[in-house]
Parts: sequence; structure tokens; C-alpha cells
Amino acid sequence: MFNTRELRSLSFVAGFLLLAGCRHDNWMMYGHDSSHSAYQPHEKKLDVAAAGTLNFTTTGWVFQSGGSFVASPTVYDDTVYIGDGVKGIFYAVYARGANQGKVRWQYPPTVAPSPADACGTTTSPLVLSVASGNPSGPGIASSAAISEDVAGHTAVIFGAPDPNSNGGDGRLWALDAHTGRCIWKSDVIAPTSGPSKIGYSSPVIAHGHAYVGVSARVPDAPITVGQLFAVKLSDGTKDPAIPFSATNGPAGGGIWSSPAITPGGNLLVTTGNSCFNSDPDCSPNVPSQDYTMSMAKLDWHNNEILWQLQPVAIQHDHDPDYAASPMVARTHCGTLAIGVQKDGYVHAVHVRSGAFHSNPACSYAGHNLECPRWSFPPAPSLPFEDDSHGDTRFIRPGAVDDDRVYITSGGFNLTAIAPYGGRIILNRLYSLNACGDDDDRVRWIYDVNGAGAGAPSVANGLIYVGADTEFDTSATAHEFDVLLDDVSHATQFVCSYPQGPPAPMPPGPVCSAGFKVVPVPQRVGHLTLTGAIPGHPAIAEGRVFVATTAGYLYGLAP
Amino acid sequence: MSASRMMPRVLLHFGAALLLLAGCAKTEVDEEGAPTEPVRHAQKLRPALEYRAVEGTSGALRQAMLFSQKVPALASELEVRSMPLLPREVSFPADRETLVEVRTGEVTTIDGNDRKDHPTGDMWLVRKGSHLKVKAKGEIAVLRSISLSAKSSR
Repeated sequence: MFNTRELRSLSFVAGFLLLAGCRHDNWMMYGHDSSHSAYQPHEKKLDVAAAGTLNFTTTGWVFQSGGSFVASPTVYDDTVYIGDGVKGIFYAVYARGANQGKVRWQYPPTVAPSPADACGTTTSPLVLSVASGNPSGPGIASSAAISEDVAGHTAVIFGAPDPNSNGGDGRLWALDAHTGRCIWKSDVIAPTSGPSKIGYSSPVIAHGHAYVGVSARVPDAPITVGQLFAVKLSDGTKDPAIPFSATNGPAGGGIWSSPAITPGGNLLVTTGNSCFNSDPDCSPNVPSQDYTMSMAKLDWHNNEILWQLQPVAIQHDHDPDYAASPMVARTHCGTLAIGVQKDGYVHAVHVRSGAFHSNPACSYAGHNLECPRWSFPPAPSLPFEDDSHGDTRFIRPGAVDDDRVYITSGGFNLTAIAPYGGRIILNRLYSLNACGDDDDRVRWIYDVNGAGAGAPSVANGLIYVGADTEFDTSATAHEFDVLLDDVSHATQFVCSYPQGPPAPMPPGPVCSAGFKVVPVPQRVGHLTLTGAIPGHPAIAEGRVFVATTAGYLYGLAP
Repeated sequence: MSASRMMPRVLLHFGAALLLLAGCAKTEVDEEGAPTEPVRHAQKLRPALEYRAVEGTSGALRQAMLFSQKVPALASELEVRSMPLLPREVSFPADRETLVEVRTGEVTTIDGNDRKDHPTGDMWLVRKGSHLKVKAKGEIAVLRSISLSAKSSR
């Protein structure tokens, strides 16, 4: 059938197609991909030398919206996509080329389309007209996801209020990525007549659906029932077979985060607090279906729970819930679901296959819960049943590359006795070994120079992270760092509990009290940007795209 | 073109399409199996604390006794309480000298015209007879109070 030459050509083409079939140099959604790894596997141009020359003044660019970006940028086909959290305008900005940094299109357009587009929208911005009182509003806090198969279009999909619908009913919007014309706006997901909104939750794409969560419109006053919705990519209608509710009784379990997809296609969600202790009007009864303050895996066919981790028992809910999105880490010790709670604890759970899993060791009355493979700092006994787990503002997700996790956590500080006037440290980025023992969990520690650390991203052995100041939308200077993950030649060391005595020099194996000496990664790139940097930097084809809460979008180029 | 010469091209196109799909479909294989984990022993949880509203706060400040112990040498009783606080301004009980620590969340204290924010870990002393008001800055905060009282105030 084929001669040798044809067979050789065929093999070459087959190999190329296999690689090309799933090769995306783009940053397709929040956290790069549906696992929310925040890892760009195809980046080769940005090495240590190039990262040190990243700039926005000569080869790079900066765009100012005049509002505020709380979402993270998405990059596709040399275009950066992001919505403004205050102005309610969604922007497509040229990422490179002669027009880099200029608006390719914006939505709603400055001139109303004629005839009206599929959304029937005028030029009104996508803002909530009333009761937006939450840093995720009044505009667009949801990061965009790209889908290459939406009714024959490549679409950019995000959550936002609809100004033409009851003062801002929350919907998903699908716009043509090339033209900005509306393909559809979804059924209403968060009506203004209710207490919820699509806040920071960013859609994740799988199984012909866009999945997105809802949380309280005004922060937990009133609290809302967290729900996950599935919208059909074909026409924007809600799939009635897949609603997930975090409780069946008193409100709770808002989904402030973006769901992730496991290798088997199932859904991973993190949920917010219950009303058990925070609302005197809320019944103190524990709901019989309590998925609040949890990380949970849902069967994508029907959204039934496959396992649930609830690290703090609901009776001790003082708001330590999950604000950060979960991530799925494929490691050499199995596939792990990893997330940080607001109390600063990072928990990693084996994703597991098959039907429902629970473990009596981490369960309590009325709750069949799963145990984590590990927690950081270690938590030998779960669920917690004390009053020291609250809203300590660990709300930024991490990144993961193979066995290496990068995340802002409370670390050992949480379990140490805080000195008088002690402060919870929100700017400490940890690299954790996902497959190590508790004693070897910490790979390195880096203190970002700022009040807090934003969500990191990783590519080609380099970590990109910005300084964050929560709720700050002013045009103040914030640092942006590039770190070298390889610490084999580190020259600085600290104790894994940095508040303890300084690490011995030259570095020995242990600090006092058994804490380990760990390296500080080398900073190989550094810029001062305007505005806080809460979100993931997006890395695509040799450039880094960073959004700030002062409304600056940077295209950093070497 | 004859059918025999067409066949390889058709197969080639079909194979190419299949491989393109396979390239993307490889993320859908089941990689969710978990290795054996260390055994954890079932734990017995303590009964949850029963919080009661502090008088005059309409439930915005509640308390539960964590520990109490008579101290004969001081002719008094040492009491340690956990006190969840909501974001509503309420008077803090000042019937005794009390050391207060913010266990979780953030708290604003109002003493006349003096407003002060206290993050987690802060401590301060509430003088007997003072008129201190407190309010959670976020959705909820938890205070730990340590006091010596001349009599039990349960």
C-alpha cells in the first residue's frame, strides 16, 4: 500500500500531528488550562537571560483601561483578553506586532452594532447597577476562557452582569474572539432578584459546556447558596441536568473560584463558608447536605459528589473557607487536587477514580469526608475543631509544575504561637514538594516585597509573581518578580519556619526546633508596575502579560 | 485517479484526523487512581461549643466558656472564653479587667472618638467599667477573652 519513502513521510506527519493536536502556546483560560496549573509547558523563549530583560517600555507595552483589572489575562492568537472590574468593558488587546498594546476590539462596542448583535446589547457597559458592594464588582471580575468550537466560532467566554436585564442579571457571554461580536449570552445564572452573582468565578470549558459558579453579591450579607452551572457551548442555554448546590438548607458554600477539570473529566470545586456562625438569622442547624467550606470532586455526568474534603467542621466555621480556585497536579505520586483555604492551610487530596470515597478518620456526624494526602502546615487530625480557623485572607491560588507546587500559604507560622502584635504573613510564596514527606515539604521560600503575593505562574523553570495589596485599586507601585526555581546554586537560606532563629551559615541540615534550612530562590527579573497584581500572569510565546487593579495591562517582552 | 491509488490518500487523511483528535483526547484518559496512603485513625470529636449571645448585643457578640478555674489565692475565678463577633458595633462587657486577643479575622475597637483596627494576633486590655465598642471588620472575627472575676459569671 505504501512504499518505504511514503511510510517515512507518514510517520513524520503522524508524529507532528500528535504533538500539534494539543499544542497550545496560548494561555487559554484562568490558570492557563482546565487543571488551573498556571503552568505554560511550551515556553522556551523565556530563559534566565531573557526574563531579566522583560520590559514594557521598549519592546513591550502597557495599556490603561482607566478602571481596574481584578481578573487575570487570557491570551489567544496574539491577542490578550480581559474584562474591567469597574468599567464593565471587555477588551481584546493586540499582544504583539505593529499594533501591540492597542485595542483590537472592545465589548460592548463604542458604536452600537447595526443590526443589533445576538445579545441585543447597546453600548451600555456590563455593570451591576445596584448592590455591587463587593470587590468583584460592579463590572467584570471573571477571567475569560477560549473555546474553539462555539457555534462555528472561536469564542471568548466570561461571566458578567447584563445591563439590559434587571439592572445586571449575571450571565456568561460568548464573543467571537476575532471580531468581538456576540455569539450568545447565556440564560440568566445569577438574577439580581436573588442574593448571588458571578463574581471571580471564571468559566472552565469541558464536555461541550462552560462551567461557572456563583457566590454572594454583597459579601455574605446575605450569604448565598453556592451553585455550579453548566452552560451549553452550542447556544448558551443552561443544562438542567447539571446544577450543583452546596447546601440543601440554610445558605452557604458560595463558589467564588473557578472549577477545575480532573484528568477523567470530572469537576473539582472549592466552596465558601456556611451561615452557621456568621448570621444570627441563619438556622444553626447543620444542613443535611453540607458541601460548604469544602474542596469537592463532582461526577461530570450528574454533579454528584465523588468525595469531599471539609477541613474545618461546620460548627467551627469562622469563615476559613475556600476563596482560591483548586488546581489539579499530575505528579509522580498520583494526581492531586490542591487548594489553599483562607486560614492559610494548603490541603492536597488524591483525585481518585471510581465511585464515592470517604474516610471515617476525617469525617464527623452527618459528614462523610475524605482525608487529604497531606496538608501544609501538617494537620495530623482533621477536621479542625477549634476557633482559630478564620478569614485570614489566604485567597490566591497557586501554580504547579510536575511535583513542584508554588503557593502562598500560612506555613509553619500558623501553628507557632504568634508574638504580641504578630502578623499573618501574606507575602510569603512557598514552593512545596507535592510528593515529599511532611519533613521535606518545603522546597524554598520567597518573600515578595509587598503586603501580599499574587497568584504565581510558572514556565521553563521560572516563577512569575507580583505583589498584591487587597482592595487597593490605586496607582501605587507594586513589584513584579521572576524567580529561578532551580535552587541548587542558592546563596541565601532561611528556616522553614522563618520566624524562628536565622538559618545557620554555612547552611546546616536543620534549624532549631527541628525546622529545616531551605533556600531562597534567586530573583532573575524584576520590574516595578503600577497597581496591585492579584491574578496569574499569562505567559505565551516569549511574553508575559500582567494585569493590575489600577487598570494597567502590561505586555512584557524581552 | 484509480480506486487503488485513492485508497492510501483517504487513509492518510483519515489517520491525520484521528491523530489530531488523539493529541487532544489524551487529557481525557483516566489518570485518577491513587496510591495507598498512610492509615489515619478515626478521631472522636469534642462536642461543639454552645455559644450564647452576650446580653445587649442581639447576637452580634456571643460567647462560650472554654476554661474556668477558681484561683483561691486571688479569691477569684480565671475564665477563658471564645467570643465570635459579627460586623455590627456592640458594647464589650466591662464588668471586669479582661485581656482580649483576636484569634481570627480583624476587629475595630471604638473608645469614644478613638477607633483602632486590630488584626489577627493583636491583644489589648479592656478596663473594668470602660465603654469599649467592638465590631468585626470582615464577616466574622473570633476573640479570646481571659479574665479574673470575683465571682463566677456563668
